[in-house]
Amino acid sequence: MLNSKTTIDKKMIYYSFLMIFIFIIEMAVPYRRGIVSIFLYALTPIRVLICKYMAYSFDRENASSRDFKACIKAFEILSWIFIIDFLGNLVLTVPFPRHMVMHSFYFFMITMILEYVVSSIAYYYYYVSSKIDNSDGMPRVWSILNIIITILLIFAFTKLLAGENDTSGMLIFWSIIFFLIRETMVIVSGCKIKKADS
Amino acid sequence: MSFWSYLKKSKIQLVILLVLIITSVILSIYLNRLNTPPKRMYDIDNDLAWDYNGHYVDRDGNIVVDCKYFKDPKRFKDNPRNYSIYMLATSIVFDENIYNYPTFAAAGMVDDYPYTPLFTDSYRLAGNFTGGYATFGIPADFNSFYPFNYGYIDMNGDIAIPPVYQGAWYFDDNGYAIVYQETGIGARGYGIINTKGEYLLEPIYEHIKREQDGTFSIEYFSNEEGTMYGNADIDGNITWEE
Repeated sequence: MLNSKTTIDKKMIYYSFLMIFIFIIEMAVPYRRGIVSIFLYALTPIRVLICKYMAYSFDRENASSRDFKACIKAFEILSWIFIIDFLGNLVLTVPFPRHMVMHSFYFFMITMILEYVVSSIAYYYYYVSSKIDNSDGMPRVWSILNIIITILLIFAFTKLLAGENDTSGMLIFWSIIFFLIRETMVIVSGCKIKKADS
Repeated sequence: MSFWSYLKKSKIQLVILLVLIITSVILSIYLNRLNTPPKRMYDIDNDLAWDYNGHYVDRDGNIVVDCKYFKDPKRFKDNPRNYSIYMLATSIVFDENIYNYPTFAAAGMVDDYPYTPLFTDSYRLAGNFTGGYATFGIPADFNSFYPFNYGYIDMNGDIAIPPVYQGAWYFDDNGYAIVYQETGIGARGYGIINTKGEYLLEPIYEHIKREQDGTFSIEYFSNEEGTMYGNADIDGNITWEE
């Protein structure tokens, strides 16, 4: 049976994959009325529950051995951001006239960047609290990668609003590349932690 | 401690989440009912109608014209988050200007505009097919004075004449259509085009009206002469009234 430490590391990897998977679903599933609409609507509350579950897992870890208070806080904040996101979706659904569309676009883009930043912070503290971090500078590389991706996303967003789609597309392409590197780090680090533990 | 008891620790969050979920499901069901497409309007000439999904269909629902450029983002109105992601994706993938959203619509129906009296629900942006062509509209730039730009599609559903006009009317038997176009700051007016999109009469006229015999009565304003009235034949020759 897996011990608790390995489980939380695995959970972090699963969490990472799950969040990406949900985002891909949101991007790829074409909008249809009825059940698909409700399903797409339900993705944000599912995210809230996932965040709460991660906070719960870290809380259990925290009680047993390691100090994960910062991670718990970050996941709690993230769940609140998702609730605000969901609330925004609901509030904007009611009137949703044409002149509000761009405002809703700003709102969701900003909350998405915010969600990304807060989840990055959660990961950062997770690395800090893990065993191997201080030896291979994982948190430093992690935070640098995240800062690069965040800056790229903000630039892409502003360029998109300025109508420069080519530049924006390029910036998003690079942020995806960095994001893939980041995700590879998650898997590698998860394996490393598991190896160090066994 | 189980996950459920952990969730119960933050009661406010849980209550808010549950209330939001219930409200959104009710709202989604309600809006879906609200968004049912209007009745099809069949043309008298060919007994065909737009199905509001980019198809020109007969009474049995068989597709006669498939509008390839049809996009239907109107149904996103009950999920603004998904709509924003759609806007983001289409702007990047298809390199389309974000300000042209939300209502690219061809051969379909646009959202109702509760704050814009000009457009009501079930307003059709696509015209009927006459002479093998139908008008269609896409939203203009976000800050444009004119809400839509119009062009023409052919019976294959392809764009025959791109949407560059601020007003476009049907083609007659001679293959001419009246259009309204803004060609620059302060330069705008009614003109006449052929099926290739070439001007028979430049868009500089105050008004153009189609007559029974296929000719056009025109109205032109100049600072020197004032308002002038005339008649244009199908070759574009104008006869001014004294």
